[in-house]
Amino acid sequence: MRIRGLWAEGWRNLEPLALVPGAHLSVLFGDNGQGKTNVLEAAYYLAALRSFRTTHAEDLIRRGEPAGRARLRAEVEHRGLERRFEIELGPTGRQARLDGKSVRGTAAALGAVSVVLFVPEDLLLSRAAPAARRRFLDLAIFNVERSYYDEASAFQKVLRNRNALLRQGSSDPALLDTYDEELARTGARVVMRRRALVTALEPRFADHFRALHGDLPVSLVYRSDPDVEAAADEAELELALVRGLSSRRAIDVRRRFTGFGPQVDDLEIGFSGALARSHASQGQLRSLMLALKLAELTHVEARLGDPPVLLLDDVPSELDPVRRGLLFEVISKLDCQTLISVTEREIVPALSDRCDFFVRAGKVVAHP
Amino acid sequence: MYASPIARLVQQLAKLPGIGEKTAARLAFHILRASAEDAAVLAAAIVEVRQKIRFCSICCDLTEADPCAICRDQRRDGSLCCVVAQPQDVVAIERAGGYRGRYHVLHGVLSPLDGVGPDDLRVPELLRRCGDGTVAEAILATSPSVEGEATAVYLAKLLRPLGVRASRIATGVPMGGELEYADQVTLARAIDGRREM
Ligand SMILES: Nc1ncnc2c1ncn2[C@@H]1O[C@H](COP(=O)(O)OP(=O)(O)OP(=O)(O)O)[C@@H](O)[C@H]1O
Ligand SMILES: [Mg+2]
Ligand SMILES: [Zn+2]
Repeated sequence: MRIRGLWAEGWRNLEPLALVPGAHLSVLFGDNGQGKTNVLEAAYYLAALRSFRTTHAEDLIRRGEPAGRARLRAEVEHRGLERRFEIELGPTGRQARLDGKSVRGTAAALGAVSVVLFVPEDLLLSRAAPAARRRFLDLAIFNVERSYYDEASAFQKVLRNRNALLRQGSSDPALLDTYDEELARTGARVVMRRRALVTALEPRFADHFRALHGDLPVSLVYRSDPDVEAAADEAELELALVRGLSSRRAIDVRRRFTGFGPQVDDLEIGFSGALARSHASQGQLRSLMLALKLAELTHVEARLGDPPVLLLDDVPSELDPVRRGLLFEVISKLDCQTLISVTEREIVPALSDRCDFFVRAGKVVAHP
Repeated sequence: MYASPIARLVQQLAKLPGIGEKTAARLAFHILRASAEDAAVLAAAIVEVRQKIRFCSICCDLTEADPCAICRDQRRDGSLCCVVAQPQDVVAIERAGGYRGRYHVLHGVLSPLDGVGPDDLRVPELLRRCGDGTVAEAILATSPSVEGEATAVYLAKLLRPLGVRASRIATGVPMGGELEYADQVTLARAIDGRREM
């Protein structure tokens, strides 16, 4: 996928933006607080219909914007097909349009633009809370499996309902049974999807890591409760989840929330036969996370049959020269269009057709 | 600020679902510009609907006469009961045609998050109705949303011990979709292709 043009109006601190990125590498450079990340955020929003920095739409709309509205537009080319995707954010909510036709619902609007985002926090993922790793998995699945958005939302909604029921202290066993069954049904689907992703990522992850650190064994495991892990297919998973929920019902009723299910699962990153987060060195952890991110990138490329657009926010400056070298090697091998934000543009190698843009006070200008 | 009768009207209209302050104001000014007769007819229709419409004592649908026309119709199959969330769903299924059983209207779906439990719905009425042996099969036709699914699963649990077969409409209805908006062919097929729960 290539972004032919990116437009933004009323977005963050940006002056009306009309960016024509290079076919390969585009470097947005400038001092801190000038709007570099805001440009990447606009591209990301068009792909994910969410920001990676805020959950409040008001934050995204330029302060003092008289109409209180922001508009984003991307013209993309995907396997020879050109499309125009637009989003308008305003006081009445969000509208998305694909080739001028209104698109209803988030799931349907996902994937018009496909990007993989890489931010410095990704390098710390192995030591972050499990929720961050589940989120990494879920976001990576949304990228290639649009229907997963509705599936994951359904699971979350059933979970919130079950928790509400526990908080209300409901004593209707049929009602609790209902939400156990629904949580198991929607949860089994979530586990299936996450497992499939982890299985697809693992060999890629190992390859990328090997390129950095030689032949040290690494592993990726999707961790659930042992009985749930033993379940082989979706039907068995559903059964194992129902059993687990009902056997722990008394605990849940006492604590008034659901302590069992995919919402407490984790992505376990193994290194030399032990847990990476407690055994790998700082530098090794960074390499592991870089390898994981590259695995996501190559996985998306393989699934879409076309490389996604890569958004690198400040990442090159967070990597040492060896890791940075591998990152750019993978990028140029995949031939994936890349947008990078950095304060020091010298840090990015002079790859073919590199385009530079200078960002200052919300203005983005091509830099010869 | 508007003169107070306008403000009052805007405030009342804004209470309606899906109507914000802005739309309410637009509607209010539209009513103001309309002829006095039109305004009177609208006002009378609102008063009349509240006075004349009640709940059917059998199926809980909205009706002018109790029992409602469908519950009174002897040609309809009383052993089949299609359970729906809203009166609009009865209209949609009737419009699709082909269904010859009766209905039960829940007036909502289970949603603990919004504080809606079984007692907030017409569930006790359904169980009473299904307890006397006339209903052989309940077709659970709530939408395939999270709330609709949970409602169907819950009702199936309560109906089975009463000897009532519970079936679920086929998923031709789009995920998260509302029955009201499903096209007629899809709806008719969803009822034909129902599965045992
Ligand atoms: N809604 C908004 N309206 C106006 N300005 C905003 C809004 N949201 C953020 N900003 C401004 O945008 C600027 C931050 O932009 P951005 O995060 O893109 O900086 P950056 O160039 O990436 O900087 P750094 O190099 O420090 O990461 C800040 O000056 C901030 O005040
Ligand atoms: Mg930044
Ligand atoms: Zn009736």
